[in-house]
Amino acid sequence: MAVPKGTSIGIDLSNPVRVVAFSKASSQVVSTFTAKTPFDPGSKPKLKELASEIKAFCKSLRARLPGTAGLPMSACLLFTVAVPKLRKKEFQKAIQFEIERLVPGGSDSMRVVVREWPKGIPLPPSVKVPEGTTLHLVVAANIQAVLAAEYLMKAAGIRVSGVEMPANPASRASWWLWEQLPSAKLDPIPRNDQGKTASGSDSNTPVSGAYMPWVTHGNGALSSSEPEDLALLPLGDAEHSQDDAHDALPGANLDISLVASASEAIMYLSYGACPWLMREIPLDPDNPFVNGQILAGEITRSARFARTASKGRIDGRVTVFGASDRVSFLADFLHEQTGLPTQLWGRPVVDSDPEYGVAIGLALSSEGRAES
Amino acid sequence: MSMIMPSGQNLQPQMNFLRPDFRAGEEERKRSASVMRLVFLGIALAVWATVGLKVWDISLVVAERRPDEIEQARLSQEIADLQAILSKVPSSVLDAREDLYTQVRWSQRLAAIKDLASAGLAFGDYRVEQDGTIQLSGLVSNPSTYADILDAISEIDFVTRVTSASLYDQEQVWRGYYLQIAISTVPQEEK
Repeated sequence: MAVPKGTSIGIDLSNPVRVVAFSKASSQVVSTFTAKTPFDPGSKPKLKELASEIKAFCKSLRARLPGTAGLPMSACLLFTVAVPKLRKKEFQKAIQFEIERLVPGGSDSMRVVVREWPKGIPLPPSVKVPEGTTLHLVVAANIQAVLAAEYLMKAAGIRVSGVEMPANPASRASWWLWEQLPSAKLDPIPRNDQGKTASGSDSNTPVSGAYMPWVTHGNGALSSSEPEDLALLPLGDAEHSQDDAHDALPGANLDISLVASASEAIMYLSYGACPWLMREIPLDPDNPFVNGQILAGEITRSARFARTASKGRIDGRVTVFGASDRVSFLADFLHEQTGLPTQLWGRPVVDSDPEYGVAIGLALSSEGRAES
Repeated sequence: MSMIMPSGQNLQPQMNFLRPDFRAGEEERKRSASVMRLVFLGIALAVWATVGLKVWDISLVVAERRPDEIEQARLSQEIADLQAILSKVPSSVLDAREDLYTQVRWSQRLAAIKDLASAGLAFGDYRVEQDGTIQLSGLVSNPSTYADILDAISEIDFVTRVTSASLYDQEQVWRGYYLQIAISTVPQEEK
C-alpha cells in the first residue's frame, strides 16, 4: 500500500487497542486497525502478541512510520497545582507530595510532565491561585505503562515519537475537527466579505451559518435566547449580529470531547487543545437513552462551570468519540439537549469511524506543539 | 479576565512521557544504580590499568638491568680475548706451561700422603723442593702414634727415606703436637 507523505501512526491503548495511520498533509486516514489482544502493561506475552499484531498492520503499509501512543486514562493523572517559586528539587518534592496525596504510593512509580498554565486560558473555577504562586498543569503516568507503550512501539517497528495521556489527543482531535469544519462544510474558496480563509485560521470567529456556536455573555449569565435567535435569522442578519457581538466581546472555544465506551464515558474539556479538566462518568451499558440524558446533564453543567471561570464569552462545542453503534445517535441527542454545536467525530471532515478519533489525535501530535 | 484566544493557534503544551520533567522514583533509583555500577567499573578499570602498567614498567626496567646476562657477555668476551692472546704465545712458553702441568702432578703424591691421615692426625702445609724432597707439616694429638706415622710414610712407594722429622709441643694453640717431616722421593717417572 502506498503511503502518502507525512503519514504517522497513532495508537490508542485504551482497550480495545486502536491503530490509525493518518496523513497530516492530506488529512486522509490511510488505514485503521483494531487489535484483538488487549493492552496489559503487566503481561509480557500479551504485549508481544499485541506488538506482533501491530507489526503485521505496519508491514501492510510498507513504510517505517513515526508513531505516538496514548495511554489509558486509568494509568494517568491530570491535575493543577499552584506552587510558589521554588528550586527544582523542592518543586519536584512538592509535585511528588501532591501525587502522593492523590494516589497513595503513586509518586514512586510515576513519570511526571509539568507545564506552566498557558497564558490566555481561563482558570478552572475551583482553582485558587494565591498571590506569589504560579499555576502548573501536571500530568503523570504509571512508569510501567509508559515503558510498556514504548516497548510495544519499538517491537512493532514504529519510530517512537511520543507517549501521551489520552486527554491531549482527544482535545487535539476535537480542536482539529472544528478547525477543519467550516471550510469542509462550506465552499473551500475564501469568502472575501468575511476575511475568512479556507484553512480555518480564523475559525474562532463564529461567522458561518453551519457553524453556529453556543454563545454566552457575562459573568455566568446564560443568554439562552441568543443562539436560537441567531440560528433562526437569515444568514445576512446573523452575520451582522455576530459581527456586533464579535466587536463587543472576543470569544474562547471550549472543546468538550466525549469519549464514550460501554460502561463509562470520559469527558475532556479543553481550550483550543489545551486540556483543562477531565471527568469520568459511569454509564449503564443497557440503557443508552438514560446515558444520553446523563451525558447531556454533565455537558450542560461543565459548560456552565467553564462559563463561571471567566467574564468573557465562551463558545462551547462538543465532539463525540466512541464505538459508532453506541454513539451515532448521541451527537443529535446532545445537540438537542444542550444547545451546543455537537459533532460526531469523523465524516464529513475525515473518513474515519468515531472510535478512531483519539488515535488520529495521537497521529496529529506533531501539530500539537504550542506555538511560541 | 479577558480571554482573547489567538485564533488558529493550538495552545496544547507538549506533554510527552518519553521526555518527562521528573522521572519516577523507582526509575531514578534504577538509573542511579546503573550509573554507580558504571562508576565502580570505571574505577576498577583505572586501578587495574595503573597497576598493570606499573608492573609492565618494572618488568621492562628489570629486563634492561638484568646483571647475569651482562656479566655473561662480559666474561665470554674476556675469554675470547684471552684465547686470542694464547694463540700468539711462543713455543718456549708453552713448554714452560707443560712443566707447570708436571709440577701439578706432585699433588698426587701429596694425596697419597694425606691418605695416611687418621683420627688424631692432620697434615697441613707442604713444600716440594727441586730435588724431590717434600717438606711436610702436620698436627698430631697423640705423640705415641708419631713413630707409626713415620713408618707408614716410609712405606709409601715413592718415598726413598725420611730425611728429618721433628715433633714440637704446641699446647698453647691446640692440645696436640706439631710435626715437621722431610722426606726424599724418587724422581717422577714421566720426567
